[in-house]
Amino acid sequence: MKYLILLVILFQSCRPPAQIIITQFSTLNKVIDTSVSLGKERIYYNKFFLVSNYANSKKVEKEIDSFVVVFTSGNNYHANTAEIRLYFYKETSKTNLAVIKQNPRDIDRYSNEHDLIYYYAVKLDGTFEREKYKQGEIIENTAEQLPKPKFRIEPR
Amino acid sequence: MISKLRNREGGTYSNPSLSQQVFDSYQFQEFIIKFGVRLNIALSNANWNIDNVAEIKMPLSQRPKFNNLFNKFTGLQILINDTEETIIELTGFSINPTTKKWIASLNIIIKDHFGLDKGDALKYQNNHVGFAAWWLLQHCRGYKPFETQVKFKMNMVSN
Repeated sequence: MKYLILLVILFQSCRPPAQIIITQFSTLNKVIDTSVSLGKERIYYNKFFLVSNYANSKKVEKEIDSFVVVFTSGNNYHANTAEIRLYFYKETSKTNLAVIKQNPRDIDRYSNEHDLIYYYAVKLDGTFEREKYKQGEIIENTAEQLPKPKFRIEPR
Repeated sequence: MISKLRNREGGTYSNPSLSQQVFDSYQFQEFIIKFGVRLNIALSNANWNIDNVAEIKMPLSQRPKFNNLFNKFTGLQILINDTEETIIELTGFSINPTTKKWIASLNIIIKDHFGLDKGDALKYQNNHVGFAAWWLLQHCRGYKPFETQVKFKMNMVSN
């Protein structure tokens, strides 16, 4: 019996993880945001996605990278686009399409702090910055690795 | 704030004590430091010339929110909770060209609407009877929601 359990565990651990499924959804947040800066109109697109079968692995990260490249590669964006911003949330019992439909604000009130996994800021030239999140905090990012300054802030 | 609600006048609400508490909060300090990191990267990309730095838009997920356990018992959650817009206005800037250390003078305005919509009432009415009462006051008895504006001026110094 002991060996049978061991075999079952081995079999389970050898099973390939399920393929991720990425589904776009909408929230109450602005889909398109604009501003004028340095004399030029700048457009920011906000896109939101749910990732089913998410696993914390480099393979999944590469799959999401590939999805981002394909998703943003069309000519569907205005020439003045500053950034296409994509937010990816892992599907959980509290972050899923049914909950989002019923309580769209839960994305801001719950999911951002618990189930946000990646944020991408994509430029029209295809370059992108990726931030990986855990419990609402950035744990990795691809932004230029300058020496991180420290700040002193004071009321004026 | 209670008077503002009682007077049923809508409009905007500001209070120096509230602004000071927001400035002192961990959530705001964390937010403004993330902004500082982004400003520093933007400056680096602009050859450290502030005149070539375009508007910096922070990701929605990084906005200041006052909804943790500490805020629940110290007032900021019921007074603000989540926020709808934060405007950071640069009013002064100087940089040491050698060390790239800089000082920015900033005007901060954080906006939030003090009101309950139908979704809020349905979701939270079982948490506390006050939420249902709040919704009734606002939607049936003319107690207008208003916009809370947290305003202060600050300096940010990179070290």
